[in-house]
Amino acid sequence: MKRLLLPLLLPLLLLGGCASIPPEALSYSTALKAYHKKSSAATLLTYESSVSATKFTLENFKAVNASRSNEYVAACQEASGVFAATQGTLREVGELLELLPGSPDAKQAEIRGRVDQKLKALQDKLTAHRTEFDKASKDAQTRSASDTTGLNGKLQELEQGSLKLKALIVEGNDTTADGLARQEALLASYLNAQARMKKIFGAHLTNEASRLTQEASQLAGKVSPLLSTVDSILK
Amino acid sequence: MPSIDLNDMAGFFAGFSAKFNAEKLAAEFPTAADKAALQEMAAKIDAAIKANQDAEKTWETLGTAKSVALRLLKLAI
Repeated sequence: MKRLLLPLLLPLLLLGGCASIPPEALSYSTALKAYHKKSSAATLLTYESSVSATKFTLENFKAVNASRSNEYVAACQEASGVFAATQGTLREVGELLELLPGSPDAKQAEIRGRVDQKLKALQDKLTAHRTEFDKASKDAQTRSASDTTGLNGKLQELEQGSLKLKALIVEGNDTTADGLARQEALLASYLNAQARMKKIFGAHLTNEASRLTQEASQLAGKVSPLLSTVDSILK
Repeated sequence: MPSIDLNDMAGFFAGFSAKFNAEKLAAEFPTAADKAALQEMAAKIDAAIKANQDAEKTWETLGTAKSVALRLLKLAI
């Protein structure tokens, strides 16, 4: 039966072909590993840059916020000082005006002169302050508009850049996942084909081995008495 | 003069771009050429998978043929 089976199985073996892991699998694994390494490093760098930029933004915001709060407080204090000085001048003017009734004409002229002088000085001072505050207000508006434009530009840059980087990270992950799945499929196909082949030859060889063991055992059984006889003759 | 003198944010904008430059970061990722090279190699792996799958099917068929042949032989014997 064995003689009949071998000629039958030999052409089948040629027809069946063998499962294989091609040499390209190694270079593919190496290339996939390099791709994944590069993609992972870039992803990590992107993460670190994002954290660094966020930290930088918050620290800058904190500094700007503190600086502008101080400026605001200082400006309010200065305005308060101007109001206080104005109040003082007006009080002095009021006190001078109270002296007018009953004063001699010459004294009244002197008082009016001093009042005019104080009011003129106050007017000049307030005009100068108003000009300065107006300028500061316009500067603040211009700076605020410029900052808003700049911030909107950075926001847009961040949104577009993040989308691009996200797409690259996803692409890298997908490529790596695809490569791993391909390697898994290659191994599975190899093992499946091997298993099918072994199912045919493995069972046959196992049966043959079992038969040979049985025959050897029988032969040993037959040889054993013969050896005993020879042994007794030799003694 | 009022103390309002808002600090310039130009430094912040420049600093932010230095910290997060999407174009520069994008250049660190594998290129389209890297991916194309990998896909080209993947085609050979796909071909091997296909060959293995074909071999598996063939062996399956041969397994059936073997069983039939053995049964025929037993009948003949």
